[in-house]
Amino acid sequence: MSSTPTNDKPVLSDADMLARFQNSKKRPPCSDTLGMRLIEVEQAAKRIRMEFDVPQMFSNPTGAVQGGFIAAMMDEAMSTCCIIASNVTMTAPTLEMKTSYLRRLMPGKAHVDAVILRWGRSAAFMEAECFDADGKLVAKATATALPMPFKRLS
Amino acid sequence: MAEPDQVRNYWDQILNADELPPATAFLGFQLTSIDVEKGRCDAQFRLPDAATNPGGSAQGGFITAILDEVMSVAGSVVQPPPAMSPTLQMTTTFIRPVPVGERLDARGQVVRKGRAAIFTEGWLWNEDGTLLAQATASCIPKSLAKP
Repeated sequence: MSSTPTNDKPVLSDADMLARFQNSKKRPPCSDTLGMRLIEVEQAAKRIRMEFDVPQMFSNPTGAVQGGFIAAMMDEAMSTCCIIASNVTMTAPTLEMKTSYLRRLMPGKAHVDAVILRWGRSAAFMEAECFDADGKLVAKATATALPMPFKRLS
Repeated sequence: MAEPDQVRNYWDQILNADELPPATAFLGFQLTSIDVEKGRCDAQFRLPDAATNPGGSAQGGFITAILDEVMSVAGSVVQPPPAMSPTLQMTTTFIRPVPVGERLDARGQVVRKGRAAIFTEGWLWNEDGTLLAQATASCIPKSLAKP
C-alpha cells in the first residue's frame, strides 16, 4: 500500500488548487477571524503564500499585534500548506510550534510564506515566515504536525 | 525596588479594568490572581467561536495567544511597574485539543528573571484540570517609566 496521500485523487494544477481554496464556502471561523486569503500555491515546492488583514482587535496595550495572533497567522498558513501537500485528503494537527518575534507588527496588511520541510507518514515538519506591509520579516516559526486522514477528525 | 503590594495593585487595576486591551478581551480573559513574589499569573479564559479550526476545536495560534498573555503578565510583575516583557521566542506544545466556548485555566510562571532576560513557562488546563497545552518563552525586561 502506498503512503502517498494523493492516491487516487486527480492532482489539480496550482491555479486550480488556489481557486478551490479561494472559492471555498466552508472556511473555518478562524480563517475569517484572521482575514486570511490564500494568494499563491506551489505544489511542487510544497509552498504557499497567504495574505492577512490583521484587525485592531488583536493588538496589545502598545498597539502592536499580540504575538499569539502572529502565531495564529503562521499556524493557519502551515496547516493549509499540509492540506494542500496531501492533495486535500489529509489534515495535520500541530504538535509543537516555535515562534521567533523579530520585529513588532502593527494591525493591517501582512503576509505569510509557509513551506513543508518534510511530509512523512507519521510526522510533518513545516516552516513559516511573516512579513509586514513593507516586506520586512517580523516573525519566523517552525512546527511539527501529525498527518491524518480528514474523516478521523470529525 | 517596588513593594509587592504596590506591584500587585498596579496590575490588578490594569487587568480588572472595564476595558481590557483588545487582544486580551478577544480571548475572554478573566484574572484569577497575581503572585508577585513567585512571578506568577493565573487567569481564566473562554475562546470565542471565531477561534475555531476546521476540526471544531481552537486553532493553535489562539492557544499560543492565551499562554502569551499569562506568561507576559508573569514576566511583567517581576519588574518595577510600569514595565512589560516583550516575547523574543516562544514554543507551544499542543497536548490535547482545546475547546472553544468553555472555561479554561492558564498559568504563567517566571523561571528566571535576569537583568537582560526573563524566562517563562505556561500551562493551559480544562475545567477538570486536564493539561491541554504547555509553553516556554524567553523575553526581555522593558521599563515603561518616563526617564
